[in-house]
Amino acid sequence: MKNLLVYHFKTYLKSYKLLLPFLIYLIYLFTAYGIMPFSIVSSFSESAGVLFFIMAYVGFSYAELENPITEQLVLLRINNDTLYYLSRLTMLLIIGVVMSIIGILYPLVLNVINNNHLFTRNLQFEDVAIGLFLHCLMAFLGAMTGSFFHPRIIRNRKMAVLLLFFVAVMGISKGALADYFPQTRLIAWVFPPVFDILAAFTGLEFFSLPAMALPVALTIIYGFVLIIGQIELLKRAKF
Amino acid sequence: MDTILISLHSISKYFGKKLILNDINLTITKKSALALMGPNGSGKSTLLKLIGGLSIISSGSRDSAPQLKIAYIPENFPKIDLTPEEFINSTGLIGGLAPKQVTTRMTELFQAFQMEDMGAVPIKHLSKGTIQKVAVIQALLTPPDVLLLDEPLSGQDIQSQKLFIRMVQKLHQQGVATIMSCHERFLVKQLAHSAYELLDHQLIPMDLSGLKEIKYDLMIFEALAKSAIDPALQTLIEQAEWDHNRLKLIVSRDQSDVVLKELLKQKFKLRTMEGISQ
Repeated sequence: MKNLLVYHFKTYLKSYKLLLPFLIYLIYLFTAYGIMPFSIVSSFSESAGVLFFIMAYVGFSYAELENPITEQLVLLRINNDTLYYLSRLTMLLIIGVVMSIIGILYPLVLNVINNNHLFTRNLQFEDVAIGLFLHCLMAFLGAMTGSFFHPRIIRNRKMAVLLLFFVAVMGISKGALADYFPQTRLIAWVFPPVFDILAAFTGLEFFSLPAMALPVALTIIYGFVLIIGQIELLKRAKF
Repeated sequence: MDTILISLHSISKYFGKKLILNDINLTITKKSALALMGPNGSGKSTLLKLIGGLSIISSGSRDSAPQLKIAYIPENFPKIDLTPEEFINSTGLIGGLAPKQVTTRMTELFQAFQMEDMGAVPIKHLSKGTIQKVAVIQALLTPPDVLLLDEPLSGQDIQSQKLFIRMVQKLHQQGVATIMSCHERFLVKQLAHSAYELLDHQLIPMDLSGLKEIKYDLMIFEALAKSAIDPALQTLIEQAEWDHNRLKLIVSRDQSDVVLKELLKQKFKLRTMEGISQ
């Protein structure tokens, strides 16, 4: 697994495909934390929501980058298709964790620079811990959603881009849509539970563990279904 | 009886609704040295992938010995961002070799294929022939049980071709089964004990004794610019490769006079001509 991860990192970092989403997230952080003070819960939630989109792009671009020939050569070396695909997803998760740390570290540093006046109240350890967890969760969900639209799962790439965009947007807006069109609730579960997570904190001054338990469980289940689904589909849609 | 490594039973393969292979039966043992021949698009590469378990079978079944090590030399290795050193090193480590073993073997192979100066150049910046050497080196890093070769000589210079043929022959002597798809009949004689032709989606055994009688000439021409070869003439040529304005041909000795006359008529200049030692 370690050698596979090193290989995936080298391949991905050398392609410079990570640079754009990384810079976009940095620009978001610079602009989002431009005018103080902020509510901790809403700013962390918004940043995690943005990270979902960024990581969906990262997952998609990484799947797009996969070369079928080198994939075949490595698959023959390890003789374990599941391990290979899991290692790719693990690499995406590591990138997601790094991006999440940046997403939390930046406002923390800014808060220190601003003599603890960045937020509307004092930052507590729980805020940082839950904020980081929330970012990681959204990064996981985004990466798994983006990587699901692999060229071997959806061969029509134009369709894949449009579908990913649609799914990602629906993930965050399905709640608002359901308010206007209640019948959409019937199919809303198909889309990533981004809204479910973010809605759990709407209007709250402090993160509430009971309020987030169900959406978090939903997100983890959804993410694992995507992992199992894409690995099985990739194994069935071989070259 | 030889140990059976891989066997294909009544295999068919479709891409969408298009039939590629139909009712293929094949057994690969430790002593196998097979050549798969046939025109472009006949399904040779697909069959190699099916043998390697890299492609899904539409119908039929494939059995293989447990823990089988299969190496594969693809026809077109991709122009990736990694350097040959990075790629070979990674695949060696992923395959379970110790870092020192990878370095030692990689250095040996880079020297043998005269690639020492190119190890740190991104593969995407290398020439077609050099990229093909990377494809060969990654496959030869550790001795496999089965070696799959898809048009293995495409783009390689003569020296590398000879070295490659020697290496594959040595591997076969060591008990590595080799299955090769190729157009070049001269290669079949050197690397295969039996041959099949893919015709009308089916695998037809070929009589190798006829092939063994053929002798070949290597000719290198110089032209003012790279130009298309007349299709009628193309049928007489076993292998043709351009390297800038130099054209390298391998032609059956029976046909070499005709090809030579025709190309001289077309203002090509002959630079080298020699019989290929079998």
